[in-house]
Amino acid sequence: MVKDSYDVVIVGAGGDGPVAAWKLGAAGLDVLVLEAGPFYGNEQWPNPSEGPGSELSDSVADLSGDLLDEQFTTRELEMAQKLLFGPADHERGLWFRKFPGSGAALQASGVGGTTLIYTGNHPRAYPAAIDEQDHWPDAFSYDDLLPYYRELEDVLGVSPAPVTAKEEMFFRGAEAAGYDLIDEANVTETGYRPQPNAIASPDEKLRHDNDYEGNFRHPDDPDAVDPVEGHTLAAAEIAGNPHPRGAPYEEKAKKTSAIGFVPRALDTGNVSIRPNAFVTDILTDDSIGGDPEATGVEFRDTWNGGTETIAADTVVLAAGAIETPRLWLNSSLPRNEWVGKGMTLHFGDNVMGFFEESVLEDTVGKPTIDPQEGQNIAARFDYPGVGMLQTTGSGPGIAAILGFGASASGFTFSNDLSDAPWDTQGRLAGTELKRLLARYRQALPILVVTDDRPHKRNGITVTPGVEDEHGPIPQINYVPSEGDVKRRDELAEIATDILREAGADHVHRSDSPPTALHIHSTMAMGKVVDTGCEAYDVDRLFVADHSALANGLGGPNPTNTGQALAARTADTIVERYF
Amino acid sequence: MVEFSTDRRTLIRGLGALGVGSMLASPASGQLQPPETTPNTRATYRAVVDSVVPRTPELESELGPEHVPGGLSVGLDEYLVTFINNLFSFGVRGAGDVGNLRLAEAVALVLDVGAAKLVAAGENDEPPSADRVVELLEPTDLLELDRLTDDPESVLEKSLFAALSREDRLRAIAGLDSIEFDTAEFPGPLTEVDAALVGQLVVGFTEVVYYSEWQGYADITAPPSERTFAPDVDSWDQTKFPGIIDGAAALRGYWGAPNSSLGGGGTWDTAVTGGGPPKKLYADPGSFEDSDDYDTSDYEEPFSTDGTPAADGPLGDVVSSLNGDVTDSDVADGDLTDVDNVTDGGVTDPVDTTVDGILSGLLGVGN
Repeated sequence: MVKDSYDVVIVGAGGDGPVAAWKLGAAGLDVLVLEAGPFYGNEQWPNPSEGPGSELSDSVADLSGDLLDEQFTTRELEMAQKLLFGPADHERGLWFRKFPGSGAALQASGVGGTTLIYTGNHPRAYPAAIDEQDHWPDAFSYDDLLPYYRELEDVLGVSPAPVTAKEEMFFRGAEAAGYDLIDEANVTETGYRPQPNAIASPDEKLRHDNDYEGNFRHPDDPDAVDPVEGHTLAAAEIAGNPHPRGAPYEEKAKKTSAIGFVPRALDTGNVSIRPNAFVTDILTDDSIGGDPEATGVEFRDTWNGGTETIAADTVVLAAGAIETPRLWLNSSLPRNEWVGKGMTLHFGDNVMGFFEESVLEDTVGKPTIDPQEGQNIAARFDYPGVGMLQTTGSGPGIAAILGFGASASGFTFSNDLSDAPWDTQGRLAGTELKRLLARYRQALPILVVTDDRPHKRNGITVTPGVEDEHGPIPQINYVPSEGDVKRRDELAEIATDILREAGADHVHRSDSPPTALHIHSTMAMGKVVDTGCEAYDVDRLFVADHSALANGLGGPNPTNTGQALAARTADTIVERYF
Repeated sequence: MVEFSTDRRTLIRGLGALGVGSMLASPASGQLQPPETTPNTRATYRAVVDSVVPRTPELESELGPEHVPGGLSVGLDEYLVTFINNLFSFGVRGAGDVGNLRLAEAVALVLDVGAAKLVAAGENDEPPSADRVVELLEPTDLLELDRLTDDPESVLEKSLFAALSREDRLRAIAGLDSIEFDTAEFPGPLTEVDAALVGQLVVGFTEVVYYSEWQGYADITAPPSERTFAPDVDSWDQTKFPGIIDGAAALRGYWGAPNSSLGGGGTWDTAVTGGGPPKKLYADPGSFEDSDDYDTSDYEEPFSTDGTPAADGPLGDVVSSLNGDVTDSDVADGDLTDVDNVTDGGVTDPVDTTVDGILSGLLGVGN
């Protein structure tokens, strides 16, 4: 049963909330985590998409690798429908978030949040993005994050990602284009490197020139044939990767926050997780004069619609960079002009290279790149001040929509590319689409991730009247600056150069519409929260998710930094109030 | 020629005529009685699939017979209607969950508006033809049409999108990216015109569903624990995707160099020998150097950081879709002159709170 009151209530069990829960629980505080989505891989909810199940989980014994195996099929369409941001009930669609133009918000719901679909990439921020770009308060520096990076990377086993054919093609192209190999964790120069991934390294048995004939199952699985531990080199991170099959929950290779931190949080004996609970209001007491003080939250059960109120000494917002400002704006809180504003989303793009079979035979010794093998994203290019590139293997459905299904510049046939370094640009459909998708296994897609800067016009608003069962819905506004567009163009040109140097005979640029996957800086430190991530305008109200980041970190995937900051915030909460 | 109008009131009246508005206007009733998918709507989705993932006999000699089938041969059009009608949850505060937002008819209507706009501008390569609509429909659709109306021809003529050639349909969808409705009456961000969402729905989702595992389910809408799947998928034959795998023996090692912390243990292979020290594939990952002595003092900004909104280039449509003067500048300069969301802390003014208002807000067409 959920109790009436806790020391701390955390709103959201996404990428960052479980880190704060673990730290606070370990400090002896009584913690409740409320999550809007379901809890996968938990005995309390054997069929979490088909009925309400239990109310709450507070024991590590509830966690089940077998259930995760059953629920996470790694079939890309089914998993996208299951994990994208909506209620647990499989009969209900996604929660609508309005995005301008043709972009989309790609959040996930469920314990683990968007780390359920993330690709395990765990690089640190570029130090210069914090210490040299002027978005962060002077009193905060990269140095403040370092001890937390080190601790959490150790917990998750972050290490350089393995090489399969697609990474080898990229690295060869980057070398031929004249870039250096970076071997620093704190990146200050331009170059390429393997991704630091929060994914356990694959078993050496899976060497490509071994004749492995096992079934890729974990030693604990009674049906395992030639068992393996670690990543199995099925590129399934985006589709929920529960591999190796048969592994205990904590031994799954990809360390989502649900795998990496939830067991630790529950193991403290002080943390309870309540899924299917959508928080709709932050409660405050302003009778004491001065700033109001957070006293609890109200949430709505997504199965039965019932509402409950929970009292807490401290409230932590960890609902993500769209939902956290939405919750603030929908609650009766002071109007800080920066709430929801200054959003960065790494303004992405996709550049895909296609290779002749003979070229591949010469470079990787086989006629295919096989984007379905290896870790989804295992190689990267860093360019502080501009952003980054990363190779992106995936199933063919995701490859199709990333590469060809979405564009801000219409269809390929309407674009004049006489001056462009790529061969085609835009959406592709019809015979040409089928022709290029026939080369799926000879394709190397590269994701462009731009160091877009915070602009006040970009962010989250709510409009009374445009609402769902949880109140006014978030509307996402995003217009990049001229500098953002130039940074993205520069990265697309570098990607094209690397692909050409690797031997690509055809390069396609999507010119993707702005899409919110990496989302940050909507409750920015220095604007909405102080350097301890407590709201300037509400006492005992903290933010422990990517919205507290003051910018987009220079372009690196934000999970590591969001988690490091959440761990630091948990320490601050203990220091200030307990 | 078919009569049409891109006037948004006409569009909203059209939504009403399709029963979309009235269905949504009584959410508290709890039990929705969704209107049946009409022959017009079916024709439109068949036209979408026929354009995006067509049957391609011309690829047989070039790539092989497995590349001939398209989305229509596996019933993708029917699933698209289901998919779009179940894509978004629809709940109302006070009334709770109402079901899902039935969007298939509205999306089809926006496609017809896009087609009308294309034809009005004379940008279609081939004249629309009702014959194309008839060809797309099944005999049962035609019988139903005959049952529903005394004048089936005039009903067919409403399916202007389906009456276009394959490529003209894509042009009509592209036109939605920049379609402009009169939004002057609407305050705040809801004035953004994003009929472009429709383009993403019908192109992006058609592609992701077709190239995914979708065809392998007996019924993808069944409860997950009862869903059955067989890896018999036409598009997988076309992409040579080997199917869902639990693993792959694909490890080539870890990238590193003799003088680098990356790569450790034995050397498996030498990958690149040109330029700098040879890059090798090692048995162990090694690690990243983690020094406290990182130096950011020579950091430079290669590009402008002043925050000026991008006005032209490939993002012109996105930018021009923003309503009002965006005068905001970069966060760094602390300029608080932003147009509409500063004084009220991000809560924009109330807009039409009717269900039609919400629906049209979602589609970005106003009402």
